[in-house]
Amino acid sequence: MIVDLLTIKLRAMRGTLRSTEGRMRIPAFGLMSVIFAVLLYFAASYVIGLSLDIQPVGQLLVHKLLSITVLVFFALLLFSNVVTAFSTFYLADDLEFLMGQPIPTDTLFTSRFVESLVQSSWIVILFGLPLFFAIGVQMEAPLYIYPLLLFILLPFVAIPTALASIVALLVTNIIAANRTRDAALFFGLTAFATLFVIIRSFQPERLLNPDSFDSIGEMMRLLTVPSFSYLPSDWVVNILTPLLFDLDAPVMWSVLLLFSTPAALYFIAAWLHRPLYFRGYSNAQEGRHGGGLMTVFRNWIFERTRRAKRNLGDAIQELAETPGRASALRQMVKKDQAVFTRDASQWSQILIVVAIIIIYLVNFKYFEIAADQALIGDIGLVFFNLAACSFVVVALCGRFLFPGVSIEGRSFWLILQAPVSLERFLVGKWLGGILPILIIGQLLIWSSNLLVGMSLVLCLITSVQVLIISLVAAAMATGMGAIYPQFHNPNAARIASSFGAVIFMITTIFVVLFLIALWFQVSLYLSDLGTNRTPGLLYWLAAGFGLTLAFALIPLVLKAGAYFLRRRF
Amino acid sequence: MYGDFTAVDHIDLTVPVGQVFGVLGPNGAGKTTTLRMITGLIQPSGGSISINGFDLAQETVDAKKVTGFIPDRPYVYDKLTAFEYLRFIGGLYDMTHKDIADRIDELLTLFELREWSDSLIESFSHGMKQRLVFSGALLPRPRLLVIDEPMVGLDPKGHHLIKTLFRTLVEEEEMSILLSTHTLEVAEEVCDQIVIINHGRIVARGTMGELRLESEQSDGTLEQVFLRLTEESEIERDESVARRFGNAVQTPPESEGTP
Repeated sequence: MIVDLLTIKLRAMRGTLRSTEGRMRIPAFGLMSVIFAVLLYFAASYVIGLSLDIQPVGQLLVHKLLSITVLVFFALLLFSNVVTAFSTFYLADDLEFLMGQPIPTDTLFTSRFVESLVQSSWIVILFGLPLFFAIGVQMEAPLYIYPLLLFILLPFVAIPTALASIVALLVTNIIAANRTRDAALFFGLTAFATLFVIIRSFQPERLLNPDSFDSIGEMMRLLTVPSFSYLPSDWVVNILTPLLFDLDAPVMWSVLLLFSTPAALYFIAAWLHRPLYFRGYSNAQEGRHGGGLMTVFRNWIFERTRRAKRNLGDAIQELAETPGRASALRQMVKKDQAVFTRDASQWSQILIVVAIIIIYLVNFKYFEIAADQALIGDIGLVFFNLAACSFVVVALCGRFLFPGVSIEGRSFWLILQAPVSLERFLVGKWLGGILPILIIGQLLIWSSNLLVGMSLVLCLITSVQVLIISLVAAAMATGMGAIYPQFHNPNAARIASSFGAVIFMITTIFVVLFLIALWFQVSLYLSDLGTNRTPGLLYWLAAGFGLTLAFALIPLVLKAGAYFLRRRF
Repeated sequence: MYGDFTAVDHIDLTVPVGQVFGVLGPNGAGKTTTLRMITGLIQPSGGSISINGFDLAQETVDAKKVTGFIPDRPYVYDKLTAFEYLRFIGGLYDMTHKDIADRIDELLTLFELREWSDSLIESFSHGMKQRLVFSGALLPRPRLLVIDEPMVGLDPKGHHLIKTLFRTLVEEEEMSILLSTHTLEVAEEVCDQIVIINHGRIVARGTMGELRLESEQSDGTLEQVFLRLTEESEIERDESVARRFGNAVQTPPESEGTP
C-alpha cells in the first residue's frame, strides 16, 4: 500500500507530462539541471584549486569549506523539511480523500515521510554532489568514493525529515488549532533567519581577498565552524574527510551515529504518529480557514479596504453620484489589489521582500569594502549595484507579478466571457503590479547609491535605468505568466517557482544584463565616471537601441501573453 | 476538438429572440462545450457563432457585451464582497456608475442578498454564490443569457424564483435564454424549444410537442421522450465513441442509419 500511495503521485506527474507543455519540461529541466550542476562543479573546482594553493593551510582550508557547506546544507534541509512537513502531513489537498480511506496510520506516515524526504532533499543533493565531486577530483580521491557519497548523503537528508515530522506533529497537537499556520510561518522564518545569520557570520566575501586578513590564524578563526559531536553535519564531515582526502579510515563512531539516528528518529516519529496524528490533522483543518493572528490581521485589513463601509443604501447612492463610466482597467486593478491585500498567504511573502531588501543593503556594504580594496573598483561597484538591484526587481516581479494571471484560477471564466480583450486584461495586471515594484526598485537604487556616496548625477542615471528595467521586467513577468499559466494551482508561491517562472527568471536576467551592457558606456560618460572621452557613435547607437528594445519589449511580451492565453481556450 | 477528441460536431443552433431554448443530453454529450463556445470561453476549431448580429470571432468584444453567462459551478473572487463583485462586473461591461448602482440595488433585492452585500464571498454558501453569479450575469442587461445547469445548488425557493424570472426576462425584456440542464422538469416547464445532443451531435430538436411526435411518445413526459431519443445499441454507441476519438471503426451493415 505504501508503494501504491507513492506511485499514485508519480502517475499524476506522468499525467502532467503527457500534455504538450509537459513533454517539453523533462528535457528542459534535465538540461538546465545538468548545466547548473556542471557550472557548479567547475566553480567549486576553481575555488578549491585556489584554496589548495594557499600553503601551508590549503588542505585545512578545504576541510573548513567542506564543514561550512555541510552545515549550511543541514540548516537548509531543516528549513525546507519543516515547511514541507506541515504541507505534506497536514495541509495537502489529497489528505481529505486519503483520511476517509482504510489506510493504516503507519502506512500513511511512511508514504508521507518518503514524499517529504524527496520533496525537500532533491535540490540539496543536486547542489551537493557537484561540490563533493569537485573536492574529490581536486584531492585525487579514489573512484569508489563517488558512489559512496550517495550512500552517505541518504541518511544525512533523512534526519531533518524525521525531525521535521516530529516537530510538525507536536506543533499541531500542542498549539491551539487556529495557530497552526502561524506556527508553520514562525518556524519557517526562524529557520531562514538562523541560516542567514550563519552564512553572514562566515563573511564569505572576505575570502575573495586573503590580504585583508592580518594572519593565517585570523583567517582560520573566521572559518571556524561550530563543531558539535551531536550535529549530523559533523558526522558527515568526519566520514567524508578521510575518504576524500585519502587519510585514515572514517570515524566509526560517526558512521554508527549517521546510520542509526535516522532509523531511530523514523521509528520514534512513526510511534508518535499512531496516537497523535489524527488529532493534529483535525486541528490543522480547523486552522486552515480561520483564527490566529493571520485572521485577526486579515479582518483588520478587510475592514479598512472594503468599499461599502456604511450601509448598502449609502454605498449605492455614492456610486450613483459618481459621474461617468466605470473603467474596466481601473476595476481590474482595484480587484487585484483587494484580492492581494486580503489573501493571508501573501503576507509571509511580504516579509520575504523586507528580508531581501535588508539582505541587499547589508551585503552592499561588503561590495563597498571590495571597491575600497580595489578588487572591483568604482566602475565595478556601479555595475554590480545596478545589476544586483535589477535582479532584486526581477525576483520581485517573478514572485508577485508572474503568478498574477494564474491566481485568477477558476474565476478566469469571468474575464474570458467579459467584453474585455486579453491584451487589456494583461495591461490591467501589469499596471496593477507595477507601482510597488517601481517604488522598491527606486528605494534600493537610491539608498544603495547614497549609502556609498555616489554623485547625484550617477544616482539619477542609474535610477532611470532601474525604472525602465522595472517596467520591462514587470511586463515580462505578466506576459510570461500568461504564456505559462497554472490555473489549477492556488498557491502563488508555488506558481512563482514553477517551470514557467524559471524560464521567466533566466530570460529576464539575460535581457536585463543585455540592456545594462548596451547603456553602460554612455551612462558612465554621462555620470562623469571613469572616462572623460566622449563615447563613439557606436556606443550612442547601442544605448539608443537598448532604449528602443526596452520600450518595444513591453507591448510585445504582453501581446505574446494574450496570444498564448487565447490559444489555450 | 480536444486533441483527437471531437467534443462537438456540426452543431447548428438558432436561438430565437424572446425564447427560452433548452439543450439536453446525457453526460459527456457536449452540452457544456457548446455553451462555452457560445460564450467565448473556448474557441471552436471550425464554424461560426453570431450573437445579436455580431460575429464572435471577429467582433468579439461587441458580441460579449450582449451576452451573460452563468456556469454550473459558481467560481468567483472569494476575497471580494458581493457589492465589490457586482461593481467589478459593471466595470468590465463599461457601464455608467449610475446604471451599475441602480442594477446592484435591483438585483441584490431580487436575489435576496442585500444583507450580505458587505460580506466576503468566501463566507457564502453554494446557493448564495449561485444567486450572486445570476446577479452578475444580469447586471449589464444582456440580450442573450447562457446558463449551464441553472438549478445546481439552489433551494426550492431559488428554483421557483429562477423559473419565474426566466419567463419574465423573455416575455418582458425580450431576452433570449439558452440553458443546458439535466433537470427535465425545469426544461419541460420553462423551455419554448429544446434540442437534444448526444455524442457531440444534435439528435432531435423542436417544441415539446414536436419532440413527443418524433419519439412516438405522444403522452410521454420529457423524461420518457429524452430516454427514447437518446437510446442506442451497443454497436451504435461504440461507433459514436470511436468517431469522437478520431479512430472510426468498421461498421457492420445492419447498424447503419443511426438516430
